[in-house]
Amino acid sequence: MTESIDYDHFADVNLFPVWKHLRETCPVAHSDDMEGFWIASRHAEIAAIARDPELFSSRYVTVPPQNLLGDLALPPLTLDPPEHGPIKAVLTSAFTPKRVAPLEPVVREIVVDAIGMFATKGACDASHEFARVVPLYTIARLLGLPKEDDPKFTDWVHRAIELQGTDESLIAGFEVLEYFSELVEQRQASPGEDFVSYLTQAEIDGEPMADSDIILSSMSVLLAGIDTTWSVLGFAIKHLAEDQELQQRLREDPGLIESAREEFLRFYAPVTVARQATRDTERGGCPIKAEEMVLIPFPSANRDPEAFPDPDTFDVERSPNKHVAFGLGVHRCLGVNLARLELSIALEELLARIPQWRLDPAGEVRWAVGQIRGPRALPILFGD
Amino acid sequence: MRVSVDQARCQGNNRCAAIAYDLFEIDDAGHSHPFYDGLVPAGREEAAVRAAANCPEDAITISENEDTEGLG
Repeated sequence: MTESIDYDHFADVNLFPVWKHLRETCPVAHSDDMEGFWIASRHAEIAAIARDPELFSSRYVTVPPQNLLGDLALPPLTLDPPEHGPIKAVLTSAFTPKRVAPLEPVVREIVVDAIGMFATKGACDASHEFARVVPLYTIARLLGLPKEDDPKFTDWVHRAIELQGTDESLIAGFEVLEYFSELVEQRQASPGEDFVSYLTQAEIDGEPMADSDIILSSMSVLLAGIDTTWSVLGFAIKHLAEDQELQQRLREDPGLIESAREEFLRFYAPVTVARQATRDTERGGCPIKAEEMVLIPFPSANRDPEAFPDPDTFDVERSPNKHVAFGLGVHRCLGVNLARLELSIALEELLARIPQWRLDPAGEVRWAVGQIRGPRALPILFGD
Repeated sequence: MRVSVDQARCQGNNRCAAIAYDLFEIDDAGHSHPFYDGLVPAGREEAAVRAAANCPEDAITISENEDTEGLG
């Protein structure tokens, strides 16, 4: 297929039907929108592209291609092998199951405190007051940010992420950079038990990490670890608001939450990334030129009937469920164990403490746009 | 039953360990290595099969060894 499709991920539209249409009619399609790009929508092509960093570089991971801070690479997200591997390995060592498991009480306290803020009110914005707050404070504590900096941190996240594409977002990015530069200096002088301190003491090939890599990696964690988990949790809460039977079933059988979590991840995977072709190539019969961008929406792979039987049915007991919400290949999500921990605890505690939540018919659900999609306002009512 | 993880395919999704933390050890690079040299203890076969089926990178293989009678 050679005609250009219309595709604008900055529009507030539900892309799931768009991806479905592409999977069925034009699995590798081209668009002249957003400075021009290709989009692969089936699992097979998305997997192949994600698994070939040599041919499909992460130098730019957005459409249109942009870097958050001028032309700085954002490790490990925008690095390719061979530079990617060693930095990713150091970061991964801080996010293994062994290192994430001890965070359980911290996450649970954040979750329970957040719920406590609205539990007696009978209503809340489950996205802004809960789904956003859980990963935001979890990352803040993981990074070792002092609690008194929480308001500053919250403001940056708002500006850098929710206002992305604006000058405000860029300015926020520079403020975060400045903050982390100072923080790294402090932790080098006086290390603690936090992630930033860990990075200041890590070594790659016997050498300490470059300051810029420590700073930018910390920023990557901040930027990648919040809106993603915020989205999945928001989607899950909305789904359960609209399926009271499932909500009650999970409440009565918390052992099922783990399976539900994986199906929420599959069904609502929030992340689409992009890659840049490093030379002329071909996919799905379509010629892709060197330097052209290719979008690979993982949520579309997760709905491909060739990979998942009856993919548009939410099956809380779906097994197997080898979804690709966390990506594939070397850029597999760094925070996979942390995200799983947050999601499980958040759902567990919400189900235990908030009875029968449902969408507020007088409220309006609002959605993020861009490549990380999910609810950003989710007014709910609960109790009697 | 034996379980093995192809290190070239494993990308550290860690789903296997989430399903059966007693069967798979995750190293500091996030990669999975079967405990017990891959021998699956009695009663844990279903968990091993489920772990293999849920690996998004298809990195885990299961082999049924007839000659492991008396082991595990």
